[in-house]
Amino acid sequence: MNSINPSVSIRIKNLSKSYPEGGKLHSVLRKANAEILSGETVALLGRSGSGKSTLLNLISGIDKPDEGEITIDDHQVTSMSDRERTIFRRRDIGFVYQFFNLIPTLNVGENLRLVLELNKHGADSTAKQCKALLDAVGLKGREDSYPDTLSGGEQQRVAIARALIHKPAIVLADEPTGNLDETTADEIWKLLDTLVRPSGGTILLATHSIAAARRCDRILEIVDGNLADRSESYR
Amino acid sequence: MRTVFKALSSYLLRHPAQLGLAIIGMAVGIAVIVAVDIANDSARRSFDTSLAAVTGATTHQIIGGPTGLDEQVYIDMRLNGVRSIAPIVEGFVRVEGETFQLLGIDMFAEGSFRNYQGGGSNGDSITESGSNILELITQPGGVLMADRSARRLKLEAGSTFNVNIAGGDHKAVIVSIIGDQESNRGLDRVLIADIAVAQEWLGLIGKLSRIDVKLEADGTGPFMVADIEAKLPLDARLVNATGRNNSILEMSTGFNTSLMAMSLFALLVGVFLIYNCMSFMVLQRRPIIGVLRALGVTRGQLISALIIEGILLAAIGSLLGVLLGVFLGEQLVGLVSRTINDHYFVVRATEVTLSNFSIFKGVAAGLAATLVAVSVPAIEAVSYPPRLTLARSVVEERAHNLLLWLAVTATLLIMLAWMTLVFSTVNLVSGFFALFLVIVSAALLAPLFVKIVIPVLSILMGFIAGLPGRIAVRGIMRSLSRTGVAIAALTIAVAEIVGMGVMVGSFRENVEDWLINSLHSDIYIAAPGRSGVTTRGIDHTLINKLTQVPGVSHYSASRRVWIETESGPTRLQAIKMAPESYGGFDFLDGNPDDIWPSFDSGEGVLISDPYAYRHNLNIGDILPLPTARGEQNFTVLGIYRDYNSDQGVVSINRRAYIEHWQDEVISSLGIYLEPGADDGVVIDALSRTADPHQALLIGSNKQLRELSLRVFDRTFVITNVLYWLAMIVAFVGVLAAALALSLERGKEIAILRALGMTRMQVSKLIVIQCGSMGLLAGLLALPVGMISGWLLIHVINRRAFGWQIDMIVPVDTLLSALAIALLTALLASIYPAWKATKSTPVSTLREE
Ligand SMILES: Nc1ncnc2c1ncn2[C@@H]1O[C@H](COP(=O)(O)OP(=O)(O)OP(=O)(O)O)[C@@H](O)[C@H]1O
Ligand SMILES: [Mg+2]
Repeated sequence: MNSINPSVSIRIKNLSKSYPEGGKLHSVLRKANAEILSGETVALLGRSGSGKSTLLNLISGIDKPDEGEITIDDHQVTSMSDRERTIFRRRDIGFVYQFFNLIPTLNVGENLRLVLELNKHGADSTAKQCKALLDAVGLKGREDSYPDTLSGGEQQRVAIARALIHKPAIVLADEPTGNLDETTADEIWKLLDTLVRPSGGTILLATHSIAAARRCDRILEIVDGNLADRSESYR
Repeated sequence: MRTVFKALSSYLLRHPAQLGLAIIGMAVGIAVIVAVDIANDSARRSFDTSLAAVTGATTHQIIGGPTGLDEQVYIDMRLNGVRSIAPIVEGFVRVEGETFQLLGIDMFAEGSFRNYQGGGSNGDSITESGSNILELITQPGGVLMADRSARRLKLEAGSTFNVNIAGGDHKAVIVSIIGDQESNRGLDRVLIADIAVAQEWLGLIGKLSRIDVKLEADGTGPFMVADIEAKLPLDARLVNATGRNNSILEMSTGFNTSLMAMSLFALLVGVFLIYNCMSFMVLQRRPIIGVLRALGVTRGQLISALIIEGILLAAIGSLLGVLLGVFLGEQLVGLVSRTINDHYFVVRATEVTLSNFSIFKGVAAGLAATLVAVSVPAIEAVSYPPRLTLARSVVEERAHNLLLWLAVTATLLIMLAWMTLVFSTVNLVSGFFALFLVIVSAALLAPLFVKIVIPVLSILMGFIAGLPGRIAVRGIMRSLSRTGVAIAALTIAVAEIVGMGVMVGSFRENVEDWLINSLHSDIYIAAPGRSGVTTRGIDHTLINKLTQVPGVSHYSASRRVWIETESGPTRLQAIKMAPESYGGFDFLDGNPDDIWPSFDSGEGVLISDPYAYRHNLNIGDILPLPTARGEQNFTVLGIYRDYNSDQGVVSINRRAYIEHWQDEVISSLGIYLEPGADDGVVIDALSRTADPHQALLIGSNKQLRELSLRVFDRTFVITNVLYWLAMIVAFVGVLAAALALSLERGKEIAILRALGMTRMQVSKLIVIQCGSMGLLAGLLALPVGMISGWLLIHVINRRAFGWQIDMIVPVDTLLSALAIALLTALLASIYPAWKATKSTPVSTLREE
């Protein structure tokens, strides 16, 4: 039996995923391997369509791989039942989606509270936490706005706040600063730095921006369905 | 334009379940109205054609008193040279379980009255081909039967069969079959026999049911109306045949109108359903509409594309609806004619007639509903600047602003309803109009009601089901523009159930009470057959024997007849009272202590409440009735509660009746037992006494009461069928709404799943959401249903039938209505909930 290095947060082993497309299989990931350590901030590069979002979905257990294993903090996500994955996801993972995915019928405050309530947090602490976090992402006083009245950047900030509110061990972010101006993007970075890192959280961040990637501890790139460590080549 | 159309319609094609439900909903809504129309129409038309066939060329009829006309009247008129008259003896008989009308005719007088085409090879009319006529007279028990009837009963010319009349069997033989020509359609279930045969079978030796008269169109001719009237006995009258037929037909008008109105309510639910589905389809395509607008498609283009699409869907829905309606109509015809048979007149044929008008009504209603359903949201959707069209919150905000206006409109409608009732106090249609207004305003108030109740429900559901509960309930509020219409549709359907339940329940209890109060005698004995001239009554010698049976203490006796008054046939009941009988009358007006002495001395008559209502009579008014001594005036002494006949009954003391009408027949007896006598034993003894003499119906008090209630329940079978149909329409509506909601929520549900909601929680959410909608509809339907129940009882029933009913609130009806609302909604949630757990969030999340 393999002994698992305790400092490894996400271990990806021989991961394959393909989608049926026009009758044949379009293979996105082909036996990809990687290890991400606890507390690391890792950038995920790759051309559009290379499989970044796919990988993040697999890690969060929203999707299932065709082959291979994903182990997170000693839990093998790929062998969990749907229910186990769901509960694991809502407790331990914060996900910033590429297309925000806010709930249109809930206002900003409720979108945040929802995550806490799913994790059965008490009501008073909930309200305070939401306020504080919204302040932090620069959306003070917008609790009662509905998502479709916000600008793209504002929606993205809500999405980030939603991913962080329950203090997850792992944050998966799909282009979190793609729609933001530099100043705001900077603030988001600071936010991730102050909110996630001190508590030893791991961040995996898909991005197109080399500049953003350089801020991370390490850079992984998806090339031909494989994960390659490119920390050195982009420095 | 074609691409615009494609952009819009491909959405529908990608959601076939929803599209299908919209079409089904529309089809069921249209089917109900078409079906009821067909059923009503067919029952009437078949009655019409059979009346027409039997009436033939008759323009006037001479109708006798309660015991019919003496044959001598006819002979005298003939001797006086009056031609163009034909004697008729008629009655109802049973042949192999079917009711037939037996028509006794005089072949030689028939001549130009009726024309029965023979089914023989020569196809001659039998009145022209001598051999047939002779056989009808020479052959004992010879009859003519229509081709249709013969084929149904598997009989042919020469076959013999049994004719059952008032419990006795007679042998009949078919002399000839009447051909199946168009003009003979109405002769299905008619037996034509020689008058002497009919007289013998019906026990009317020496009597005629009526004399048919043929006058020129203007009432002149060889003999004038006045000439004939001058030669008539005092209790006979010459009436216009068409007018008489109409007044018979008129009797069931209230019933037919009620049915039609109920089908309109089913349609109303259907309209809401169509509105619900179609507006949903427009609303859901708002984003597409927004993009198209942004790309430069004009408002006009969009609206017309949506409307064309709506009309196409309506066309498909109408086609299916009409087909389904015809099928349903065929099923309903039986129920409608049975009720008419039980209460009004004998409808023989149950053939379905399909009129273009029935179809037109259904299609027009469906099309109109679709047009409104499509254009209102379409106009609204394109009325925003393109950017705003995309914003969901704007739509909901508008929906919420609308609440106030809906409430104001509802209030105005309720006031209009109230004014309608105040200013039009007898018209049935305006009664239905008021009911309609009340129900529509309830539908308009539904969203406001939801808004008020939701906060409470949210807390409650949060308590019961936690987070999914709260999200579910709040979702209803947030999507009010969608959920509101579905809730309104379900509210109407359930309110209808409550209203009808309250009405029928109250009615039934009133009837039950009344039966207990008015039926006092321990045992009932009656001569079989429908009351009227043909009823031979109970033989007097037998009555003597029956009343001597050990255990019998004393008895009451009655005779029920039809007499021909100015305003059509009137039911007259002559009673020999037993001491207990007095307590059986529940006077709505008048003091019993004043009434009874006058009644007993034969000074006047009692009338039942529906009779008083229909003829606008009060105590002390004069009621002229034709008697054997000519028209006589009778004072109305009292008005009593009675649920026997919605046409009303006039009751008279038996001694006075004999004096005025010279008719001693007794058609039924009420037997009172000695103390301690066992009714089972006495019934046996009575049957043994009666059997060798005459077939009689003998039953205990309890049996009669049960029988009456059975007839009552049978009357409301069709009502039940109709409101279950409305319920099905509502179910399809809620299902469509649930499906559309979950479709719309697809993204939201995917996000919830991605954020960590389990499959269980998500399906719980959907079930709770639907269940809450059902609960809301049920809660609102209770008060609305009670109000419509009140209107049905005090306005509709009174105006249609003259019934006066005390309203009773049946708690079990209310509870079961609530349960039905809830169950319907829960049932509708099963499929969407199941579907939601099957879908994976990944692909949904990928879309922007
Ligand atoms: N649910 C799905 N069904 C079919 N194909 C899919 C599905 N999800 C992803 N794909 C395909 O897999 C490939 C990788 O997609 P993915 O979204 O992971 O790319 P990405 O690296 O995130 O791209 P981008 O930078 O544009 O967001 C694409 O070619 C896409 O078409
Ligand atoms: Mg992506």
